[in-house]
Amino acid sequence: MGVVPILRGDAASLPAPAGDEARLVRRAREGDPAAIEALYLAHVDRVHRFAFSRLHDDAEARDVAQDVFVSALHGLPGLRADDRFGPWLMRIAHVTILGRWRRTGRGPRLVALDDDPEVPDGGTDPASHDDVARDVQRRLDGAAIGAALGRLTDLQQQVVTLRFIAELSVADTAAAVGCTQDAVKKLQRRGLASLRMWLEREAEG
Amino acid sequence: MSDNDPSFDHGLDQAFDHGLDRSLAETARGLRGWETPALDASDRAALWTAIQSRVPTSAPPPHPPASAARPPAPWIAACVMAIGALAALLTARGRSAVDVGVRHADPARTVPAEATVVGRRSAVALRPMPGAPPATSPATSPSTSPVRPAAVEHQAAAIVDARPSPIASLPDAEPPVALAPNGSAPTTDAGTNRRPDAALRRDVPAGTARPTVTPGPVLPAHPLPGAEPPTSSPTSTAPPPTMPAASPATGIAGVVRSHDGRPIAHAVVRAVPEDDAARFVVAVTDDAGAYTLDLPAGRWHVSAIAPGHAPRWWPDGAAAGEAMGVEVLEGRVTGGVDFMLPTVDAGD
Repeated sequence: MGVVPILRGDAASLPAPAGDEARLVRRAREGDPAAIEALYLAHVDRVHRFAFSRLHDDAEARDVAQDVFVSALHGLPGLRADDRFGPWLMRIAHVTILGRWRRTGRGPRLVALDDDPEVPDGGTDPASHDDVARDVQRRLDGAAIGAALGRLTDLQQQVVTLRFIAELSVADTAAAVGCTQDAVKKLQRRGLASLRMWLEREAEG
Repeated sequence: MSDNDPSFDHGLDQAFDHGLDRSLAETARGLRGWETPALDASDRAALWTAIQSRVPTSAPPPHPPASAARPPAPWIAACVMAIGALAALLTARGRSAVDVGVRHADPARTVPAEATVVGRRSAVALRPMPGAPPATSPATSPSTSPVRPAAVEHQAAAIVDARPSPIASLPDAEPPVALAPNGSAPTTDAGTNRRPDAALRRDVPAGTARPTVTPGPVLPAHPLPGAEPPTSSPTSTAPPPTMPAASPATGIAGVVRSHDGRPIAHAVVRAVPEDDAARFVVAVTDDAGAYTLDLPAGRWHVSAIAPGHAPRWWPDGAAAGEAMGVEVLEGRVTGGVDFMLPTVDAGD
């Protein structure tokens, strides 16, 4: 026997009000299916995007998004800070991806924190910043960014994607990665510098 | 994510604060514009379907199950209280028990019972009278169920009115009332949507109180999540709403298989109206790979996805643009909308 349709929807019903998130979390914890679905709809795109930024594979990113929400729904009763659902979810996503890599034996290259001597620890000539930025922007197509991200060390990838795709704060990123905030700032700077360098190389052909 | 998402700008502000020069910040901003594969509404729905299938408790009903929510239903309390009041009145007249029965429209099927007063008004226990014949459905009426007095203690879509009345007998033309065990559907007469008549009848001298049964709201056997228990005045005499006749099934059915012919369980099948891509209906296949989509009549684009398989748009399109519309006619289930999904190597 086929299963009856279980979800109907339309585009207008998708977004959830971000300001009500803590209230949604409380209602979701009490088992309100509408609140649970609203939280899902509010965050699934970001979770999927973050997963794609780490895995560079849409199908895998969808699998991870699924795993993340399954874990989150199981763990929701344990979430104490209702207004921290988003960062909490992204940390689950981060851990889920790491676990996936551990299980499959695949993953990014693992490089020690300071083991990236070819990337300067800082900016370039300020006069050329605008030109570089414009050029980088022009070349920021999906493949180029994906390839450039893939060249970062694992920790740099973690920090850059958590900070600028998952949009976690420095503190949340530090908690997710398991390092200090100073280390996050350093990794962030180096990661972006490395990313820019690879994108510039790509732009130069 | 909108272009002026404040959280992202806040992150960039922090980046500047933490010593990033402008070019690095622009690089970070470039990440924001990274065009990654996006989920559309049907993708989100499909993911949600898969998530719910893995977390059975993720979407519990907003109210406790019917069995937990119903016991204190007002009409049951009213029933017990009214019979208690009646029994108390009779007790005051020197009677300690009152005979009651649950009667079908067919008088031969009336089941005698006895209501014993426990205390003056606190409770009444209903039990079959000694020697009473068992209440069984005649073989010629398979659609009617035996009605037992104890059913009054279950989900009784009936309300007892214990107003004093000199009338000792009840006409056979009482409105139909269902007395069904909690959680079971009210029985109906085949093809008529009429439920067996039933009433409480006592066997006491005329002039004393008469319990009458007035129909209450008829509940679905499995109420929809969010449905509030119906409320009704204990003395309501409104006729019961008739159960809506089941509408003929309209939709699409088929089977989702892998390219090697194996049925794919838990595949997600979605149907999108040909003229309105923003709406959709989703179903999940069972263990045999079968699905049924309950759809309004019209033309629909149907697709199927499953983990480890590439999606397909019916009949065998690899992209939405290759889909062919499936015509759904009112009152008919369009079968044979089957899919063969190519297997995708996880390492690809």
